[in-house]
Amino acid sequence: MIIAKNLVKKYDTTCALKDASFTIEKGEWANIMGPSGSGKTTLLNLIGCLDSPTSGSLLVNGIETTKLGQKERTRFRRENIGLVFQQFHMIPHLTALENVMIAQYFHSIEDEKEAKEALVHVGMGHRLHHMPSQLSGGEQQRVCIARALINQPQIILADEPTGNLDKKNEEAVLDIFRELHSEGRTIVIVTHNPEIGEIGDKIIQISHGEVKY
Amino acid sequence: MFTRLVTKSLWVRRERLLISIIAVMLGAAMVTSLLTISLDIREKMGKELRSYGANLVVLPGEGEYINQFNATHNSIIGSVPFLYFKAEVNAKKIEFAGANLEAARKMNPWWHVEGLLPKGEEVLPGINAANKLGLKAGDMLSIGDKSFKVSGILDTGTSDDNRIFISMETAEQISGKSGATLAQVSVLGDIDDVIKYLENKGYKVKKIRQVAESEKALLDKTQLLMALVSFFVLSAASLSLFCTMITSVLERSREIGLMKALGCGNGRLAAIFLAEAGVMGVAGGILGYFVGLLLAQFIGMEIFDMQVSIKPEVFLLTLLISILVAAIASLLPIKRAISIDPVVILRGE
Repeated sequence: MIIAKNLVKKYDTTCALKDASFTIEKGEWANIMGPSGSGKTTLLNLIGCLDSPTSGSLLVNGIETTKLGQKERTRFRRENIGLVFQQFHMIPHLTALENVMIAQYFHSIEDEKEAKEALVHVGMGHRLHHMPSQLSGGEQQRVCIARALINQPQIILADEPTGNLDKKNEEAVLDIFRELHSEGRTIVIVTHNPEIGEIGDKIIQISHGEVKY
Repeated sequence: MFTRLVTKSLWVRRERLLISIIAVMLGAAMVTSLLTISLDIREKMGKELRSYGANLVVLPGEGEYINQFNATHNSIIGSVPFLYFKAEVNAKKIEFAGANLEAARKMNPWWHVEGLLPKGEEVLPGINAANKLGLKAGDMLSIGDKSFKVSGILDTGTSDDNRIFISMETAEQISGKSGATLAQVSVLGDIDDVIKYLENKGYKVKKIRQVAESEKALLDKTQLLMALVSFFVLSAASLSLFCTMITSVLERSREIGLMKALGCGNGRLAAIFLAEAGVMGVAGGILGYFVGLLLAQFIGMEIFDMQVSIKPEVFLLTLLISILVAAIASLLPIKRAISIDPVVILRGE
């Protein structure tokens, strides 16, 4: 469960997020939507403990994350959050399998069998030992989803996960999210795509840093 | 995974890695040669000093020769007068040394005689003189109108190797001179008192140790120079490593941000970069050790005329210093890596 109360994030004099308050229930699919520069990614960064708010309260899985120090936020993130990025972000000199295993390594210990299964699960069983440069955008995004899921996080945060994909790959990726949702995971997606907006349980609309929810 | 991360990351930057390894290697080579020269040559020089039987050279106070060297001081445990002169052998000017060779050998325990000491009409050429004249034990050698048999070959590792040794009587006969050019004196006890005693008797006295001490001074100067060069080469290696590491961190800021976003703690991130620097340090250190040994051998032979021996502790010290240099050089880059904000990943910066 994610509960935000009066979240404010300021960068110098710019207020990226103004008094944002919302609740995302456990197992809910919430889409954060809004125009470019409206503060969507800032909000996702705060939920993912990649950044800390200037003020306000943010409870994630019952933990007040605004009170966490940098070390605790890193630990919290690796134990509770799975991240999927628009730009995929894979380590270029590691294979698809190793890119998944690295998340296991940072979490606890790597398990090659489990990492392979995760890749098979997202339809990448035939590309285990390919380098990122040898994979298409859709394939890279599926590897990243496998990486985000490998440590069984309760919450999946995705920033424009289909933003760089064609229609076919977009569908494949959305299917994976649907499956995760059906398994009871909490999914928060930042998107411009109204089609994705229709899939979720909830839309958090954001404009000029203000949440309209 | 740690090993894979480190090795693959190093492999993709192998050209830069190689340059850093070479830089560390040069520093390590200087350290190895410095340590080897310091430990080994100093030890050998000490041994040589201790093995010196004679510690004074007595020269005539007036005139060219000591007619009858007569010294009876309690601290004098032995003395050998030498008569040096030059004579032509096979159209080559060669220096001869006449002495009681049994006594001379006792006083110079490092003398190595291949064959026998000369008796009567025999000569003992030093190894360089023998090579110059093409002599070996058993050959005959003509000096003036007389023939002498080569009883053996003398190897001292000093300038004595250039001389031909003969008995004092033969020397006086050939040169037509009588007396000694100098006398080697072995002192056990108060050397300064003996010097005073000999000077009072009208002799000029020189400490042989002064010669060895001047070599020690040369060693000290060589060491200082090498220490300075080592310092600068190690600093340069450290700078090169720093550049490699900082460039690597800057190039990989997205990768570092991603790792942090995925939950990589600062300690683990630092360990990855330290391991990369460590590989450069270890590889450079090992290579540098072998290059340094060659350098030490060269310096030992060229400057001190001594072969250096391999010392395991030098290897360990070189490796330790190389790793330390690598670790110090990577401190700032690691600090920079740790400061990278994972938020840049989601921002797509």
